[in-house]
Parts: sequence; C-alpha cells; structure tokens
Amino acid sequence: MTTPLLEVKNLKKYFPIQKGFLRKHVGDVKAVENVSFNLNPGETLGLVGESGCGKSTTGRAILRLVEATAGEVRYNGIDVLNARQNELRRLRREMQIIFQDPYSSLNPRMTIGEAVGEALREHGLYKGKELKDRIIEVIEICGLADYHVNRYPHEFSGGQRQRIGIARALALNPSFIVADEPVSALDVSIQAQIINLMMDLQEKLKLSYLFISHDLSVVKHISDRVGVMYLGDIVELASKNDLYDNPLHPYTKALLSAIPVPDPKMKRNIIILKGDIPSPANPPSGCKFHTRCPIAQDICKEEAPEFKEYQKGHFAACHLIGK
Amino acid sequence: MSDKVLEVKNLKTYFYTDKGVVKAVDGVDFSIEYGKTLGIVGESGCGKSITSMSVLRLIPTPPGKIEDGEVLFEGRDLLKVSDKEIRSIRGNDISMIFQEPMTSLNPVFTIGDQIMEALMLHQKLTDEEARKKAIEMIKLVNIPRAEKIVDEYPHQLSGGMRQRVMIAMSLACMPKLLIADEPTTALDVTIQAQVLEIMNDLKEKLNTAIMLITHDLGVIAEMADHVIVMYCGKVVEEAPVQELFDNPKHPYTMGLLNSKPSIIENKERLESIEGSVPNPKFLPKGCYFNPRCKFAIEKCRQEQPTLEEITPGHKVSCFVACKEVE
Repeated sequence: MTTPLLEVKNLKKYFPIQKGFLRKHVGDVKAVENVSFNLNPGETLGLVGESGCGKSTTGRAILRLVEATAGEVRYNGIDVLNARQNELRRLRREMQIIFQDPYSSLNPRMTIGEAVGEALREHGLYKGKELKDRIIEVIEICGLADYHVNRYPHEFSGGQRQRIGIARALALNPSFIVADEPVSALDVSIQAQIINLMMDLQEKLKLSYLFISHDLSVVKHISDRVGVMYLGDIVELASKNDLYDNPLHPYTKALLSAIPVPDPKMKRNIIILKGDIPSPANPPSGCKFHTRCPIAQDICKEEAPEFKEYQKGHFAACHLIGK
Repeated sequence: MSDKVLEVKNLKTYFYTDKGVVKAVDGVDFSIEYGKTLGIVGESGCGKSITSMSVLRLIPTPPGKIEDGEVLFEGRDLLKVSDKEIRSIRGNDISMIFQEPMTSLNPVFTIGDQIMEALMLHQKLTDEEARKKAIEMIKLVNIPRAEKIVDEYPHQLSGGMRQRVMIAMSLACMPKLLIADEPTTALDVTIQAQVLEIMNDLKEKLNTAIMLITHDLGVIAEMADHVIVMYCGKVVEEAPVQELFDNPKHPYTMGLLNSKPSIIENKERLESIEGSVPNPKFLPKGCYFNPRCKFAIEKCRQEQPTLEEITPGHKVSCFVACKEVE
C-alpha cells in the first residue's frame, strides 16, 4: 500500500456567530463538521456538493488559509495544523491553491511576470536572470507566451487569466494543489481547455489535486476518487466509477439524477428533493439529510449515521444502506 | 391564424461606444410557436441576452440601438408600437425571468406587493383579488407557507425560493410568452431540478411559450423543442432539439457538445475549441468562427456564410457543412 500524501482526520471548522455590542458568542456556523480522507501521490480527489456544504472551507482549512477548529491534517507525515511559522512557510512551497474567480484573484496593478514571480522572490528561490527564466518557463507550460510577462490582468480573457492563476500556483513546483472551483466561472469551450491543461500538468509534474467543484460531470472527468459533501460532512466517498455507477447514499443518488444530460432521448428518473439546504448554523438532528431525504425513517431523525466502509474503498454514512 | 406567437426577423442591435461599434446582435431570425420552448445557446458575449432584451425593447438607448429588423408578437411589430403599448405588453403578454434572483427582486417591497403590482396594473384587479391571486401563484410554484411568504421580504428567502417567486411573478398575468434568461444558472443542481420541473409543468398547464436562454446544453436537452445556437451575434445553427444533438452540423455546435464532460460515458480527453471568442469590436474577416475552426477552408476566411436550410427544419451557417450535404 502506498503511503498517502495527505491525511485529513476529523477536520472541523466552526465560524462563531457573535451578537450585540459585547460580541457575545451565541452560536456557530458549522461549516465543516467531520471530514476525513486520504489523498495518494499523483491522485485527484474530487469534492462535490452544493453551495454552503463546506467544500471550499475544507480546502482552505487544509492549507491553513483559515484556522481549523479541530482535527488533524498530515502532509507527508508533517502535522500541518500545528506547524510553526517557518515550517509552514516551507510547507507552502509544496501546497498551493487555484481559486475560482480569475477576475478577482489577480492584482490588477501587477504584471503577469510580477504575479507569477512573487512567490519565487518571496521564498528567495531564484534571482535575476534565473528568476526571469523560471517565470517564462512556468507561463509557457500553462499555454501562455513569453511576451505576456509584461502585460496586466485586464488584457487577458477569463480562460487566460485562469492559466495565469495556475502558473502562479505552479511556480514553486508544488506537489499538492487545492483547486477550488477552477473552471466554474468559464465558458464550456474554455472549461475544456483548462481541464485538459490541468490533466496534462498532473501527468508531467506528478501533481496531486484536491479538486473542489459543484459540477458533477467535471469532477467525474478529472477525479480518481470522489467525495460528496452535505452540510459539513462527507456523506459518501468512493472511486469515481463506484460512486457514479453505484451510488449508495440517497443524497448522492438525488444529486446524480438531477444533472441535466445533454441528450434529449434520455429518459431519466429525476429524484426531486424537497425544500432547501438547511442552514449550517442550525443543522437538523440525527442524519442532517433527513429533512430532505425521500426514504428517511425515524432512526434518521435521532441518530447520526456512522461513516462506514460498505464495499472495498466505498464509504458512506446512512442508516438505510442495504435495508 | 398562424401558430407562431413570436417571430423575429433580421434583428440587429448595435452598441455605439467611444472605441467603435459593437454588433451585439447582427441579423438574427427565429420564431416560437404557442406552447413550445425555444432554446438559445451560446457562450458569454454571443448576444443571446441582448436578443431577448431587444424583444421587449429593454436595451438602454444610448449606447444601444435596435438598428433594423422586426419583432412580430402575434403579428404586431413590437419595435414600432408606442411606449404605452409596449408597457401594456411587458409583464402581461410577455414576461421575463432574469438570471440573478438576488438582484432582480426589490428588497424594500414584500413578495406579495411585487407579485400584485403586475396584476393590479394589467388585469385591473382590486387589492384583495390581487392578493388572493398572488397567494395562489406562490402555491403554484410549490413554495410552502404561501400565506406567510406573501408578507415576507426577499432577503428572508433562499436563492431557489426567490427564483420561484420570480417565476410566480412572471406567470401571474398568464403571459403568452415567457422569456427566461439563464433561469437556473445561479442555482444548485437539486434546486435547478425543482425549478425546471415547475417551468415544464406550468408550460403544459398554461400553454405558455418559453424562450429559454442558457449556456448549459443539458438544460437545453431537457427543456427545449427547438434550438438556435449563437456565436458573435449571429445564429450559426438552428434545428429541432433531437436533430441538433444527434446530428450537429456547425463545427462550433460540435465543439460545444464535445467539450462538455459527460456524466454517462468516460471520455479520455475533452475536445476543446482552440482559442477564445473574438473581441466584438474586431471581428475576424469572413466567417466569425474561422480562426477557431478545425475545418476552415480558404473561402471561410474571405466570405461570410449565411444560414441555409440543409434538411427540413435544420439550418446551418457554414460553407463546409453545406458543401458536405450537396
């Protein structure tokens, strides 16, 4: 068995709700409640779920862009959540992030060369001519040309900006990248270009991705394994073929059935979920999905189901599987 | 009487900016039949939203101007009627759902007030009748607690509920045509499924024609009867929905279909369309798609193709595709 590159155990992130003049602590938004998974070297783990399910917060907590409330994250055996400043700096060369919105994630006053080279300068890895060469090398891998170095973000289209975002993440030669909805803001034809680029880079540079998206078809295309999140919990985790062909959790089933398929002949049984996603500040008791679950029973309202392995490598949290 | 509720002929909407003229919609023709759904697909900037706004004369003038064309709604040219007349059509005979349910509701009025406004204005209902009807409409779009919701404000509702309120509002006067501009783009998939189901339901109940604008081919496959594909302000392909998905002719349509990852089959690699949509102020010579087209021939770089019918109901604007058929 390979040792995992990244181990996440019982990760939790609560955002406190404060009220009044004295900012009294009146409750928590439980963005991430209980998330555990492993990521192997060279693997892509997809994380899907609807807005507010905690998928982005998970990605950020792993990189310590937000401080986790509890849990454990190990990268190559190093305890990330308790790492000291200088250790964390070293770790950040290894762990990078690509953001969703290529329009707001680039500084409009920095040229592309400055933006991509910023991390290299900050970490003091390259100087002078070497620095320039490295910047050009990175942006060329990402499908841009060397003359783009002196241009500003507003001169680029959405797809090109996302390439710059990827170049920025790759500059330090990391081995793990959190991709937080990297193609959601792009048009379909451009989306395909960026997905292909990310897959090529993964092969060339032996990257591991944590790929966060709400688009199940994109996640299916790029991932090896997929985790489905609902209100801060992973409810199902399996290899992509197991998950898409044989979903166990009723939420996964509903989610898969709700995607419109680009084929008018396909007659699908859409499972329409009633109601909206409950607020993470006040999640339902027991299984959090029971308020919308089409097959919920009494036990679901009272007890939270355990996250168990039902088939080899196929985990789910539901009382009613196999019943 | 013809069975067409709306017929758009040679519509041209241009925007005059300091840096040049943007031909956002450049000679678009289409028609919609009663009770049918027309899907308009295309990427950002292809002119699909401007087309829909031109139909209701919602284009800000200046800088925009509808330069040419006819918009025949039940035989009447909406581009020629008086302002008063068009106001009596908007929200009554033709209504519109916008993409952003967050910004298209007025935050200082209750849900009820906003639904009642159109009813009282167009249908001349009294306060009480309108309120009753508003509650009925809220129930129709499957929002629970309709009697309470009617007195609530938009910020108290979730995104999916707001979009359903928008649908309730737009259908309150039983319009003959509903223009839905990316109605589910801002919503999560499970909520999208709810909203699409409601729209399909209502279409059948009320026999409303729908003009559905979206970039999502999945939504098109699910909802539309007939589809037009737009690129750079022009229609590049038009066909019945099944024909378009089975037998796409324009290289751009093929590219769009192939570049979408599929949930059913496993694709090794996505076929992407090279390059990006050209700047509308500097459109390429010849066919607008030629710099990105794999099949482009010399003629494509020189001349602009026109929309030709290749099989009954299936029109395409491409030299290569037309030649193949001959």
